[in-house]
Order: sequence, then C-alpha cells, then structure tokens
Amino acid sequence: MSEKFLRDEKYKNNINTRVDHHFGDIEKGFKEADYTREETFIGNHVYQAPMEPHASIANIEGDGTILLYSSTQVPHYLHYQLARVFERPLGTIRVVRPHVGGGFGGKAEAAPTDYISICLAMKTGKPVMVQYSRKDMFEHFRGRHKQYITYKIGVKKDGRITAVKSTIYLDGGAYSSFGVISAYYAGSMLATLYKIPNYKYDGYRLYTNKPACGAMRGHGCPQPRFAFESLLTMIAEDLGIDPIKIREINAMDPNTRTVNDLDIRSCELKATLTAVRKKSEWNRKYGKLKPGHGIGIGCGGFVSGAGYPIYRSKFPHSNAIIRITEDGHAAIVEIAAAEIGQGSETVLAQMAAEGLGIPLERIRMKSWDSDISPIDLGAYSSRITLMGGNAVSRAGRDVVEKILPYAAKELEISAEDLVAENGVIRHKSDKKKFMAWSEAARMYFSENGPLVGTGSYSPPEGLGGTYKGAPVGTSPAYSFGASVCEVSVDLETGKVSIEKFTDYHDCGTPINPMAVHGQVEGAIVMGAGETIMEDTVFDDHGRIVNPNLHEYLVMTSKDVPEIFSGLVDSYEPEGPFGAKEVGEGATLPVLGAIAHAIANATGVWVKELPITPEKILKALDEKRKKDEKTSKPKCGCD
Amino acid sequence: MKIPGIKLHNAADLANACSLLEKYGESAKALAGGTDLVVDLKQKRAVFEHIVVLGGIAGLDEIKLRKGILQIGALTSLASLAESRIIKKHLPALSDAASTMATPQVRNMGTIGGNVAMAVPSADLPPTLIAANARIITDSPTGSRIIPIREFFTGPRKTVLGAAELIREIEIDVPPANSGLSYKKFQLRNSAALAVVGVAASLVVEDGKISDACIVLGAVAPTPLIAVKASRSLIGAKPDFEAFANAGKIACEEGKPISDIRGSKEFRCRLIGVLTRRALEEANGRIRTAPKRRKN
Ligand SMILES: Cc1cc2nc3c(=O)[nH]c(=O)nc-3n(C[C@H](O)[C@H](O)[C@H](O)COP(=O)(O)OP(=O)(O)OC[C@H]3O[C@@H](n4cnc5c(N)ncnc54)[C@H](O)[C@@H]3O)c2cc1C
Repeated sequence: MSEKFLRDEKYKNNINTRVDHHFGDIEKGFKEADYTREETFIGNHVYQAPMEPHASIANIEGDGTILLYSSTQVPHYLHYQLARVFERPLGTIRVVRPHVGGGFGGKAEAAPTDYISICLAMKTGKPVMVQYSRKDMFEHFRGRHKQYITYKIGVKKDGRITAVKSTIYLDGGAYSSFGVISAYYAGSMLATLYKIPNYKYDGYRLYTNKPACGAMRGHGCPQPRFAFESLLTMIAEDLGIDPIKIREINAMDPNTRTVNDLDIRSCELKATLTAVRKKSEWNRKYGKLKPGHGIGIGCGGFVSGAGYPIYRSKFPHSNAIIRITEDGHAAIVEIAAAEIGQGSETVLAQMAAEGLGIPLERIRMKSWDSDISPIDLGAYSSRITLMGGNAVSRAGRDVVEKILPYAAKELEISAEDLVAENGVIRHKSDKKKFMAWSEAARMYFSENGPLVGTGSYSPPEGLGGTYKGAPVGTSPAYSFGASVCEVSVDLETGKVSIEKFTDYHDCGTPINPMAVHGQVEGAIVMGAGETIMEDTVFDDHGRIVNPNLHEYLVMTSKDVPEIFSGLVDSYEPEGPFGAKEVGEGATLPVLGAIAHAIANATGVWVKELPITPEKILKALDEKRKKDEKTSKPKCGCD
Repeated sequence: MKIPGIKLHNAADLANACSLLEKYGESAKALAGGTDLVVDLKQKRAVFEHIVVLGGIAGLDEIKLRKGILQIGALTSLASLAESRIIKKHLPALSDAASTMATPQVRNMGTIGGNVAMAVPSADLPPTLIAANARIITDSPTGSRIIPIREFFTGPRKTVLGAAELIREIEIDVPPANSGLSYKKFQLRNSAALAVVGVAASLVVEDGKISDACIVLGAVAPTPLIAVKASRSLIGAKPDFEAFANAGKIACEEGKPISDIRGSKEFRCRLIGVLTRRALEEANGRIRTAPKRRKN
C-alpha cells in the first residue's frame, strides 16, 4: 500500500485492530479430524437504515445547564461523552431521549448532530436543532463491517467438530467507532453455539477510505455466523449427515465453559433444533423438493447484555428507582433505559409490576430524562430485558420489603407469611386474609414520608478469561435459536422468493411472548434483506452510490415471507423471572438458513453477500461448465 | 422539506397551462403528480422558478372507451390504471405494468402523462404503450397534434414535446380478439423498485400463425427499444415455445444495456431473453378467440 494512503503512523498497514486468539490446539485438532474443509466468504456493508434520521436539539438553560434532546439508543454513553468533550461535570448536562424511531446500533454513540447542536446553541444562545438527511445518515454510517472470512473446520466422521480456524479481515472505514469491539466479537461469539475444542481466530480490522463501520444488530457476528453455518452445512452434506443432525451433535450444553472462557448457563439449542425440524416438516422436505425449491437450516444466538461497559466504570449497569404515589395507587418507575421501538418500556413495566405485586396498569415509566432517571447503559448488546429487568424487579421488591411490616401489623400475620400480588397483600396460603396493597403503602407514607424503592444490576464479577480481549463476548446469559427457511428460486433469472421461515428461539422465559415474536419477525425480515439485497455500494473514490432508500434495497412488505416464531421452554437463573435476550440473537440464524435454502434450491452455494440474482446465475453457469467438463468422456487423444 | 424559490400557478385548463409555460419559458415546468418532478427539485437535479400545476384541471383523469378506442387522460393516476376495469378487460398488460410500479402512495399520485413525458429509460408504461401502438394527443399554443408513440422518445429524459406542449390524452385502438399483449418486468424487490429490464410483447395470430408481433425492451437503451429483428423473426411462425425462445435470443442481441447498480450489462442481456420469451408466452395465452376466417 502506498504511504500516502496510510491513515496514521500508529496503525501500520492501516490495521486498526489485530486479534490473535488461540484456544486449545488447532494443529492437534485438525490431526484428529477425519474430514476438513476450508472456504472463503465475503460479507456486505449493510446499513441499519432506521426510519427516523438522527436528530438533536440543544439549548443552554438559564442556569448554564446543557439540555440536549437526542435520538440516541445510549443516553448514558452520550451523556458521559459530552461531559468529556465539553470538559464539564456530567451533572451540568441533561440528556433527554424522546421516543426514538429505530436504532439497530446506528445510534449507539454520540453523533455529530449532538456536538454541533450544542456548540451552535452555545454560540447563538438559542435552541438549535440539527437533523441528518437520509444521505447524511448513510455517510455517517456505523453500519456493518464488510468482512472477508475464511473458515477451516475439521470434523470426525460422525460430524463432531475437532478444530476451527478463522481468519477475518474487517473493512472498517475511516474511524474506529465500535470497530475494535466488532473485531473481537467476530471471533469470540463463534464459540457459544457449538462445542469447539480447538479454536484459532486471527482478526484484522482495517482502516479504509469509507465511512466508519460500527455496531449493528448482532454486532460483528452475523457475517461470520453466515459463513460458519454455510460451511458446517457443506461439510454435513459432503459427509452425508443431515444438516440438522450435525448441529444436534455439536450443540452447546447448559452450564458449560466454552473454549474461550465464556460461561453458558441456560441453553436449549438442542430443543430449538428438535422443534424446527418438526414444525418445518424438515424430514419430509429436505432433499425431496423440486428443482428451484429449497429448504435450509441456520442457528445463532447472542449475549444477553455485554458483561462489561464500554468505558471503565464501576456503576451498576442498570439502575431503577420506583416511587409510589402518596395514595399508594401508582408506581412511577424511573430507569433511563432507552426505548427505541423494541418495546423495553412494556417489559420493564411488566417486571416492575411483578416485583411490586400490583397490576400493570398502575405502572408509569419514566425513562427518557437524565434529570429524573438513574443510568442504564443503553439499548445495545440485547441487554435491557435482563439487566433493566433485574433492576426494576429488585426496586419493586425493595418497595414491598418496606410495606410488608405495615401489612403484617394490620393483618396480624408475620411478614414472612405475606405476599404482594395483583394489588393485594395476602397470606401466602390463606387467600382470605388480605388487605389492599395501596393501603399498606399509604400507611408507610404516613409514617415515613415518600415510599421509594431502588434496585440495580451488575453482571456477575469476573466474567470471562484473562487473555487480551477476553471481556468481549462475556455476558450473564446467552440466547440460542434455530431457523428453517424455505425459498423458491427462478432458475432463469436468479430471483429468490423467500417463502417461509420457521424459527424457534431460546430467550429463557419470555416476559412478553408477543414482543418476542415481534423481534423474531423483525429480525427475519431484516436478516433476509441483508442476505439477498442490501449493500452500500461505493465508487472508486469511496463515495456512496446509493445513499437513499430507493437504491439501497431493504425488504418491503411484499418481500416478507410467512413467518412462524416459536419458543422453547427455558429458564435462565441470572435473568429476571428466567428471561434472556431475543433482539439481536434472532437475526443470527437467518443469513445461514437462507444461504442454505438457496443452495438447496439451485445446487450452488453463493459465498458472497448479498446473494443477488446475478450472483446465483453466475454460480449456476460455473457449475454447468464444470459439470460439462467432468461429464465429457475421457479419450486421452487430445 | 420545503422547496425554496418556486412559484406555483394553478392552471384552469390545459390551454391555460400551455400559455403559462409559454410565458415563463425555460424557468417553468408542468407538474402532474409530482412524483418525478418534486424529487428532482428537492435533490436540486432540476431548478425551475415557475411550477404550473395541472392537478386541478377537470376531465383529464378519465379512462374512456369510445368506438373501439381507449382514451386515457394524461392525469390518470397509476393506481387508476392498475385498477380500471376497462383497462383490465381490453389491455391487461397496461394495468399489470402500472401495478408493478413504485408503491401504493406513489401510484396514487403519479400519472400516465408524467411517466411518458418524463421519458426515463426504465419507465414501465412506455414499452406496453409502444407495443399497443398508442397515439399521444397534445395541446400547445400553436394547436393540437397526434404523435405516434414510436416517434415520441428521442433520448433519456428527452421527447419531441415542445416547451409549451402538454399531453392531453393517450389513445389506443382496442386490440383485436386474435391478439395478445403482455408486460414482464424484472425488479430486485417486489415493490418500490425500478425495472432492471422490462419487456412488452404483442402478438397477432391468424390461422394458427403469427401475423404480427412487436417486442419492446425497456431499461436497456437510452429510449424504449423496439426489437425489430426479434419481432420480425416471429412473423409466419407457429406461436410456440421454440419460436418465442428464439425471439428471446435475438432480442438479447438487440438490447444495448449498460451496467449500473441494478445489474450488469451481461445480466440484463440474459434477462431480455427470458422476459421476452415469457412475455410472448403470456401474450399468446391472452389471445381470446380462434382467428376468424375472412368471408369474401
Ligand atoms: C419511490 C418512487 C418509485 C417509483 N417507481 C417507479 C417505477 O417502478 N416505474 C416507473 O416507471 N416509474 C417510477 N417512478 C417514477 C414516477 O412515479 C412515474 O414516472 C410517474 O408516472 C410520474 O408521474 P407524475 O404525474 O408524478 O409526474 P410529475 O413528477 O408530475 O412530472 C414528471 C415530468 O413529466 C412532465 N409532465 C407531467 N405531466 C405532463 C403532461 N400531461 N404533459 C407533458 N408533460 C407532463 C412534468 O413536467 C415533468 O417533467 C417512481 C417514483 C418514485 C418517487
């Protein structure tokens, strides 16, 4: 590379992150293997494309406080960053997060709109709003890294994995953004799904003359997962093993420490595989469909909240205050957890209600104002249900602890024998002995003043190993899922119709099944788009050719398949009421399942995303040529 | 987003619209549904000071059938075209083409006049209109004229229309029963996507043989392109798979596609062949009656 394109002397060859991980002994692992196969895959620059553009409004208040309204999914990180950049105490800044029209990772860091609106408000003394155009959004980017991925997998005859070697180059654009973490995630998360005894990962994140790439739904993992799932299926088919079977053989077990020191607690991957096999009628369809019709399998999963914050901090990751109104009727739940359309307000309210023992309709959420609500690290790494949920349910129980003595006195029952449930406090076994919850709360207030409970959550201490980069991929809990996809492919034009998805997810115990299915459906539509049509296209100078929603193709409602989303029984001890994540994990099985279904329909694997009609036709041509060559009778005379 | 520096003029009728265009000359443009023009103005691809609004003109959004002639007012929306019972009965290919276009919102706003006048190479209506031998009726301060649509397009976004000339309506002779017409579009997603290739094909069959055929290719040349050789290859042939596939092959060689973000030149050439054959097959399927014998 010519010197003049070097971004920074600090980064030789423009390598911004180098990961060099080796767990177990891959040489030994490959020696033990009966069969190995190596393939290279290429990803795409997928953009989050949230409907709502990034927007910020800043005002300098009368007392000098900076007031910032921002469409952010990480109010606290934004807050912290503003304090650092403007060199003033965090307490002199107030961040308000209105309802946010989608983020998917694209709003997971302070944006130029935030800084510019504040600077201009300071200069002008007036409120200032800065909003991105659609084109600005694409140029700000922070979408997926385009990854160049080579996997080598070794297996025993029966399909058991003995070793995996991974080499990934991540095209990261001009700045770091979240890229260092993306480069680690691209390696670390591979080990959670299947038991891999020996694993080597070489990761390189490269600076290029494109917009910066960052975190996006499934952070760093969907492209490696697509590649790995594809190769695992290829190997299964090479060996004549059913592709679901090879996954069952290797599936992670509960309570396992992975080869890279991640602690898996609940894990029902096998159950999801059994369930999709049955529901999709896999046995009747796989290998038995007409040409042009295909069925495919893919698995995936994700962290339920990152084990460590993105900057060194000892603050608990989620913090809640619950304040009960004087009359004991309503509970005001204060937690700065970012609702960005994913429905966190709903599940947090449910869990607060459960913790308090009052009906859901008596809960009012206050999550948008840093002056009102204590910090939650944000809507990223699929963390709010588990972490925010633990915080609000603990705050709820804290309130209950405070009012039980009053009920005990009134009912003349010992506090240990009382439960708070559905607006009453009653004897554990004798339902006839009860009093109104609000009455007990009023008694507390009359004697002590405000009735307030607090709760917070931090992941268990010391998660993960001690090697460099070990914190990335750690989590209190992991989700798992399996998807079966059915497609039809027009073999003359290469056009793919994604017809059906059958998905089973292990999200622990679902707090709100409807919200879970909503996430799964969204993940399938989003994942399908990035598998078959989405790509940010650059010209020779690194300029985006399609910075608009007309030429950057996301799926429309007319492209959406029939979707069945199912859940398996699961309980996560570290989660609130047994719950873990679904938001990001549900994206991960999608890409591999579609790639397999297309291969199953056409007889050719396309290893470069997006799998466009044009690439399918090209692969079919190549296959035809190869078949012709091999079927020619050999006469040895030419 | 507001568009700064434009003046809107609501035209009372088409004559008024034409004279407004004449008065303001180069700084003026007519606006029908605005789904092309407003985008261009917002993106600053076009700058006009005076916008002559056609939307209020009465009677220009009607679809009529008179004496065997379909008359489609220039302001007829794409949605009406897609849903019209008259069009579905007499020229289903045109309602098919309209229903593949854009999105429901854009189809409600966009008009046939705008689609034709805009003369974008990938526009979906022109191929079918050409295959159906449509006539474009225009008004201008110097009078009215009838332009065969085959002579209408001169280049990308270029037509024979004069600066103060506007389309009043589009006329099409109702195709005879022994003919069929079809439009096939390849798009990268099922809605809100422009044609990678569009092919319209018409067939007339007499005594079991093709007596006339017209294949028109969209999105593969600066203007919609009549695949003359491919069309000619069908004359006298039996309307069967072989003849259609052969015509497809010839049409591939006639297209002059470029490579762009929607597809490479090679990919488009291939699509021409497939879509041509499929359009011919569907057109053939639409032939309703056995060809009548001429009685002398
Ligand atoms: C999201 C989106 C998707 C689209 N998808 C498609 C698609 O799939 N296929 C497709 O073909 N097009 C598509 N279009 C383009 C557009 O919607 C159509 O071309 C539509 O028919 C234009 O009609 P209009 O009335 O909106 O034109 P306008 O924008 O009002 O006008 C377009 C041009 O035609 C001129 N004009 C309008 N009426 C007359 C008249 N009566 N006489 C003379 N000149 C006139 C105007 O002066 C202007 O130059 C799309 C547009 C958008 C925004």
